[in-house]
Amino acid sequence: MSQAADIVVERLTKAYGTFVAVDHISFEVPKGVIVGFLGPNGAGKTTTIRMLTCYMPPTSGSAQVAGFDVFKESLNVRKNIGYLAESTPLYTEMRVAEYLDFKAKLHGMGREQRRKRVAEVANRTWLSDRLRSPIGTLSKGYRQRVGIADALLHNPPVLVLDEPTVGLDPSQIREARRLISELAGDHTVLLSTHILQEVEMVCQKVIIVARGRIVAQGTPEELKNRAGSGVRVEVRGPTEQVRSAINALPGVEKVELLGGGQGLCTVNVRGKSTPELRELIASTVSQRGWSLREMRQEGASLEEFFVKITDPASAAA
Amino acid sequence: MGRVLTIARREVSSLFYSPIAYVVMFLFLLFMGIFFAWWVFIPGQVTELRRLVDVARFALFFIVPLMTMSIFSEEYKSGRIEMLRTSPVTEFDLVIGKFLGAMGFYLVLVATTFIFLGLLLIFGKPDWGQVFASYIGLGLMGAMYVSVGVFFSACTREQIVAAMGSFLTLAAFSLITLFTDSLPAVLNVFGAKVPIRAVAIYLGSGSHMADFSKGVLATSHVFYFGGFTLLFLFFTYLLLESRKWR
Repeated sequence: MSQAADIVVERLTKAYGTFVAVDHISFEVPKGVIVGFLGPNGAGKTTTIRMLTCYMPPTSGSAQVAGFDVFKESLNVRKNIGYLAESTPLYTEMRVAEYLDFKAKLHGMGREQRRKRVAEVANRTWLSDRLRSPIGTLSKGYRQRVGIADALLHNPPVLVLDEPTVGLDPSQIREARRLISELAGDHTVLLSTHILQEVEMVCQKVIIVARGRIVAQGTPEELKNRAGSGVRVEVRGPTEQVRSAINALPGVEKVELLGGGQGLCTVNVRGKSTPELRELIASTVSQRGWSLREMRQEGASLEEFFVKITDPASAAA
Repeated sequence: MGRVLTIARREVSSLFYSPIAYVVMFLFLLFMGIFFAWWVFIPGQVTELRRLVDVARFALFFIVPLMTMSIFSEEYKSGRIEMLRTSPVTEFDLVIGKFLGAMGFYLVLVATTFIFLGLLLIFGKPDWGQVFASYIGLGLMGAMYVSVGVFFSACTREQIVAAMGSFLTLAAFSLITLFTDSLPAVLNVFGAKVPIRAVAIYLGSGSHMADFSKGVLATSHVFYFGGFTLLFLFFTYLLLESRKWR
């Protein structure tokens, strides 16, 4: 395994009888990087996470977290990982401070260290005023914060957060995202989520899974480019000539005709380097003596790409 | 060891937070109180707890399952088992911690019977040797009962199923003594002679408790209760450990 990676997954598989939930997936998460783990429901995200956190064993393949094998050195993995589970199950009869103290004891911290760390993480997750509240009386958002505080308690090098912003209100979501962004550098974070803006905002790398396989990975920018951004152009001019003129430009991959007639034509131009492309189109159109009525960069979104790539219909392709 | 005690302490406090604990204690004291008044607390009779210990043996085989049913089942059902198993805690820590926690609660339960002892002290002179041995016996028997309860709780996420499993098992250990007289002394199994009555008497908890309530501390009985306790705790450990391979 490479030195710079905190999470290394090699051909990891989990099968339940004939149903394969996670199918030979391999990926690496470099140290100090926040990686978004995306996928539709039932894609195998939680199963993968549960194997990484030593909750369930892989059927085959291997994974290392913080340099330790999840199966053979499970205890060391668990010492070096902070995990926020999907449902954040907590002891509802305990008070927040009691619960965090209990977890800190399980991590083998001494009395002084526990007091210090509990205060620190409570402060970081905006829980300081709720330390005396029984967990059962807390709202979903506060319980979620207790879960995040719990994951940060032992200052682990690797954090695995399964949908950390679920149940938070909009301002809390902002705070939580800022908190997660701050964690980068000191911590390696695997962030599982449904929310695509979240990934764009905090993640340096994205892994998209569907049907138990990795369907795409890269930086959010790369994936957006792969989604194929387009330039929408409306020109007064002969349809066929406009199309072929634009098609001949360097960098253009595809010209789709969206509408035409009455001397107008609307096309969508797909290509790689869009800033220069727009200038080229503009100058070509004016050189030919046509008039440019409208030109707009169509916003390529991660969402578009996500929907396209995780669509079961595209599985065969 | 620190982690074991942490888990044990949390388990005791959570038992005391739950209403079940008080229902269990109420039932136990009610049952014991009735028999104490009926059989033991009689003017002119010898001051001894023996019959009360016999009653406790029967009371506990339905009280202990109620007490232990939630120990693992509740963790499975709520999903907290995921939190526990992804913490740096071994299966050993978990089993022993949970067991000690339940034992702590059990000992408090048994300690409530000191009320009866107090009454005997006021109105008579109990034999301290006998009292001491009886409580040692109740402690050892409790360890076995609790370990059975812990095992069945680790088997299922349904508390009722766990309670039924441990109830039936403990009932078998307790009630077998009632039927030993009707068993043949020796049973012929494919030519091999099995001393079935002796085996049944040995397996039943009654023959072992009897000596304790007479004031006899015999190592063979300590081995019986200790052995079954370890056996069921080991089964529980294997059950949790086996999840690693599934």
